[in-house]
Amino acid sequence: MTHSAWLKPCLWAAIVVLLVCGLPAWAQGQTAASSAPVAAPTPPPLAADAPIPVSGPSADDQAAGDPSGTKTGTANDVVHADPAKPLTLADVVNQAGQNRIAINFTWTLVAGFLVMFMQAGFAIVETGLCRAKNANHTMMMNFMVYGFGLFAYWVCGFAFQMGGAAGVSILGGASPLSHEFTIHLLGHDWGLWGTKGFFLSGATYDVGVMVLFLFQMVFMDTALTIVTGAAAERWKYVAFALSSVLLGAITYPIYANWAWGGGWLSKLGANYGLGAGYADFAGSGVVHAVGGLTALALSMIIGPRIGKYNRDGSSNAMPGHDIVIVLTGCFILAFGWFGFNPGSTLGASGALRISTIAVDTMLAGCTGSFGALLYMWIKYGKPDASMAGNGLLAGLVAITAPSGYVNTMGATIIGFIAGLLVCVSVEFIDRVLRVDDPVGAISVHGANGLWGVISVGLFADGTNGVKGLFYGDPTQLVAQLIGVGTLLGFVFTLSYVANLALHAVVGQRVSAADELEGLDIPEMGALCYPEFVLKPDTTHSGVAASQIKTGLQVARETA
Amino acid sequence: MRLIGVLLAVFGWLLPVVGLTMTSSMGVRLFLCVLGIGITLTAILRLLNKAHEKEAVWKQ
Repeated sequence: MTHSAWLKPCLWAAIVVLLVCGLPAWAQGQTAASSAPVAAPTPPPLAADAPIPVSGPSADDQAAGDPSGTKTGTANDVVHADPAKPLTLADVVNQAGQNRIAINFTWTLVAGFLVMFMQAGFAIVETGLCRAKNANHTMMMNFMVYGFGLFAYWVCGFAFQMGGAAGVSILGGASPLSHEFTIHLLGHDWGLWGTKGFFLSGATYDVGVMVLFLFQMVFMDTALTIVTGAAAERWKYVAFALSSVLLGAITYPIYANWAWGGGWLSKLGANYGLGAGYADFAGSGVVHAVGGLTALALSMIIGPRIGKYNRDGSSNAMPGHDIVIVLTGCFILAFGWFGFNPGSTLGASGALRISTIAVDTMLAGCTGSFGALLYMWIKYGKPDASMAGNGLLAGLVAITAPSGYVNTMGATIIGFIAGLLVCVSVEFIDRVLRVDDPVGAISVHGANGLWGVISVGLFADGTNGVKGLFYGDPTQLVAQLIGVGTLLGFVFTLSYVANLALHAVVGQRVSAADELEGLDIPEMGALCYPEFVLKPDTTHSGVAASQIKTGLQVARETA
Repeated sequence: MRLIGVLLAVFGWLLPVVGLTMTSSMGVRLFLCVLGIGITLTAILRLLNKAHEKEAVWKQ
């Protein structure tokens, strides 16, 4: 066979294969090409009042019930501006806006309710860590601080804090909060306090403002209840009431304004190029450090409990009376923190990072308790229960400021460091400073509140507009340190001077006799546990145990 | 001692705040912050605390 003889059949075979395989593919391509979207003519814009041809289930359908849920929540449920006319585009858009704000209102209010419930957690943690003879007094401080704080905040605290914070768009604007008192100094405006919202009257009688008030109020009350723990077992009740009102009306709101209400700290970024300005997402500084530093000031002023220190300055342990309620309280607080941190977005619609914030919060609390547990176990040979609880709280306090800005790895590290820090701080305050803090509030909230503020400047990953040193921006750390300096130099000093003045006027501390007896009868008029026989206190010097009445004796005499 | 402690604590706060307007160098600002916090902590923990410790129950 010659060369051309075998070439011819091969060419024919190739043509047949091409026809068999290629034709369907070509046909498919033609079909796809013909079905490709053709530039459709743009529909004419729909007029806002043009009727929309949709309808929900009929009245008869709905009357039959809706076990599957498919006939509930339809076009029938969209509010019509004019019920007599069909649904319009304006109705749908207005409903969408209303729904967004309603979601955010609901989220923020429910988060606020969770934070309010933290009062119960604080109450039983503090009471459990105190001795039984002071249980009624400690519980009553925690119970009434809610009311004292709320009242002071309604009168003027909220106005000072948020009176110039207009522009909370996620809650619909809150535009009545429109005036901040500022001074022009060194080339910039320095916002100092708000001036709208006293008694929630006038234009601030507004649904958005009310949501903001409730949420901010429960935060403020958290700061107040921190102080009652550090000063427990020796604080005169009337002094407690007045001191709480001062903190809720002035000290807390002023700092909170600087950080959250449009004050000068929040403008450090815009005015001085310091990152995003002082960033404290949910209040490690604003809430916890303010409470913790006020607790330190007060503990210094009223001094340690009788029997806490020996004449050589060595410290005696004064264990609490009920570790069960202490750890139950810690769980309640950890639960409430899901309102504290994720709630600080002030909304769920348009703020889906609430999931990240909630996970960060859990992780930091978890590693906080790990840190404290390990420290105590290694150093003292036992995993101490109350310090494990304090470690959990320390982790939660520390993650409060950075929770909106850090990833889960950052949260884990921040929490673990907080757990170690709380143990070191408790020992330092107890043994070196000799400041008596029965519940460890200064360490949990003060030291770890400051650590939380600093950690934003280190660990913020830039995802939500704040970037820390470890992610390449040292300026944010400077803003955070200025916040720490302000907490120490301004908040502590103001609290110290205010409480010193109160000490001079009404006296902050109960008498020695009342303290030895326990504050339940002298201060509150009733024992917390009247059927218990309380063990006589022998830790103090100079008073015979026989001179101290048991709880049962006191209860009988009172009856 | 209390008055000195209070004044020093406030000075430690104002130092980095005023420093903001004096320099735009982040290094200097950072240094002033650390220095200011150190001064304030010393005022609180040393001066003010010592002043109150003198009157403590256990020393009497």
